[in-house]
Amino acid sequence: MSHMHDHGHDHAHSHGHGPDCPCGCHNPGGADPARQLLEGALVLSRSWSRTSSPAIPAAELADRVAGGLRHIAALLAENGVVFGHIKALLRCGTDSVTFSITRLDNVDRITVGGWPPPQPVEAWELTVNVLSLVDNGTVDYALLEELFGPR
Amino acid sequence: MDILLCGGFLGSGKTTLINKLLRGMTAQGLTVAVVENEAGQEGVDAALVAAGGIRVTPLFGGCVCCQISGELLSAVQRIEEELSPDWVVVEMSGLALMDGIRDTFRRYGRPGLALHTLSVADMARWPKLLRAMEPVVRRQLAGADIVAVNKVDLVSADPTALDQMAALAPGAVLVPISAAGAEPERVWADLRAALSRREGAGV
Repeated sequence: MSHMHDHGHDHAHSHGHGPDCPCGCHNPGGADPARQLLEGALVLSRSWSRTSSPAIPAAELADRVAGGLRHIAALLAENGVVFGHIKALLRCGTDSVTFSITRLDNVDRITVGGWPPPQPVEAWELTVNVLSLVDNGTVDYALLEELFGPR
Repeated sequence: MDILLCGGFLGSGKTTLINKLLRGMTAQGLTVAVVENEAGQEGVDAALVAAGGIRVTPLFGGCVCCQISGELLSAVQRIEEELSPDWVVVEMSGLALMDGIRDTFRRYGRPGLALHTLSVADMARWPKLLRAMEPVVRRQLAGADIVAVNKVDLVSADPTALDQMAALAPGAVLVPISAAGAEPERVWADLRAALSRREGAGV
């Protein structure tokens, strides 16, 4: 038995769409909508070991990282909300700070150890994870390299 | 040994909540081991938890509900054999579906395993998450014994949102919380009370 399905196709048939319709909007096999969303997820995960000469104040370095993460969030957010999680770990020796963004209006920071280190830093490790159920093609590893990689 | 599966949407506050929970549990003299599952190849959450002095078994590179479920079961079994802690806390990735992992444990885990499921809901993004990601949110709340309604310091838990969460997690105990601001002992006390209420309900 056919059923009507309104999604703007131009079809020669007048009886509407059915399970054999090639439009791709039907799921006669009962595909899981949750899994469909998850399978389209953007998952980017990258680490860098960086050095700098001259050394950089740790607070300035952290602000640069936060700025890069905000840039990514702005590309992925819809109505101010990231449908995912953008997070990073910045490590300078035994001191570290993590960053977390889920909404455009805030970057959460959690410090570990004696952050910030008292002296300017010459070497650090940075890990950035971008997890989003919205993948609009604007964020990729090339962008991460541009934002956080060596220049 | 009890197992706590902790799930919830990406960025809902699972790691923050677990960190507080671990401190609260260990302050009460309990021994705890943690399994961290992150979707990416590089770990951020595991580092945060390990910084608290807790032994962390990381599972990277896949999601425990489908891709690496065998590794999760093996990790829990190893922890039980080597450490026999009071609690094993499994932080699932934000892409994981609670009902899938719970079913994996029930089907393939040791018989008689004391398994508890906690799902963290993000009150600050709730209406938009539910509207745009409903199929995922639904599967992440389904089967939860406890729903931690997190970030109530940012957005109060309104009755409409609580009703929606209750409908998605039938029988679950809802616990409004601010993981970022709560004292660790309070987090553990609230969780313990919620578990008792669940058991008292005979579920």
